[in-house]
Amino acid sequence: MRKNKKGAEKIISVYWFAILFIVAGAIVYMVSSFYGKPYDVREIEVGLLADKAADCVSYAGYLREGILNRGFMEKPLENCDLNFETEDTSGWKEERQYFLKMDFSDFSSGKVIFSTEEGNGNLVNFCELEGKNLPSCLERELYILDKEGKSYTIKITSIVRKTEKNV
Amino acid sequence: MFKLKQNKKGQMGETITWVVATIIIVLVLAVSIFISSFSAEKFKRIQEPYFQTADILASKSMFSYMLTKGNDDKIIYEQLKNQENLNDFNGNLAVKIFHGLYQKDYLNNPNNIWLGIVVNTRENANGKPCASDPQFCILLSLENNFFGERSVGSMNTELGYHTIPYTSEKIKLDENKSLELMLIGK
Repeated sequence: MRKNKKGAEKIISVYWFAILFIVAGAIVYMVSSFYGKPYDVREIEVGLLADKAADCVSYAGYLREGILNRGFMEKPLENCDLNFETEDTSGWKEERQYFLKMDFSDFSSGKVIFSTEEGNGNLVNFCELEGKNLPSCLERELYILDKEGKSYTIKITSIVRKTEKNV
Repeated sequence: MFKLKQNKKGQMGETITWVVATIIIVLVLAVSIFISSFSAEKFKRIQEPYFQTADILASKSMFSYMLTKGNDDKIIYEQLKNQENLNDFNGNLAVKIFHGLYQKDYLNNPNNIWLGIVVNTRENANGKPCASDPQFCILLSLENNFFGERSVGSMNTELGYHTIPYTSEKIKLDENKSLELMLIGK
């Protein structure tokens, strides 16, 4: 009887060790799965990019002067003080991680007057797809006037890829 | 013989208890692992703040809307200053701009966008003058034919508590009157 009890105690202590390791392993897994994942800030980033583009083209309700000139919108990055440079990881230098497009159209007819874009245009193809490792896309519109009182709609498409560091 | 049988029964009972306990422990751990990985996906995606304070594109559109000239050669700001409420021209244009361009950004629900006149009643909730505490003055939102009634309540204050997240952009028309663009949720 006494021998039997000692055997049972031994088995239970082995069992306790097994449970301890299982619980510890699960906690380590939970912590690493939560804190090991990067923060995905791209939704904020595309929003900021669209806001910055809107700030660049409009001031106090009117189109900024010279916006409709070819020279200004041929280099939107320089003229809007935007910088699409990224760190040199995961081949980001070869494949640009940002895209910005602005379509200026007549507000009444909806006819596109002119467009300007900068960055990696291939990223647009991924916007319609659904999945995890895809770029973050945002399309927003803005109503604006020129100094003569003519009204326009500006469609701003902003895309950020950077999946390697955000997903 | 009888004692041995009893002992065996006791051991069997204990084993079953531990087997059940082990299953429960493993289940609790599995649920915790599932919750932690699910919450990681949810909480690590930083989105626009729930109570966003401004929509820069919508407020820029509102400024341009106010500067648009009507058939009477007056800008909408002047029209609204002199009128009680939205008229056919500025009301329809507002619907075209704010429903047309922003409805998709606000849960695709036309009721989530409201533009209209807000009047400061200069009285607090007790019907007394609020000059000493202007933040508690009752602001009365006027219903109009284009956006209807303000969906989060027609009476509120500057410091009004609200549970529904919304962004509000106001342009002052005179001492007691302003034009408000309200965008709910995102």
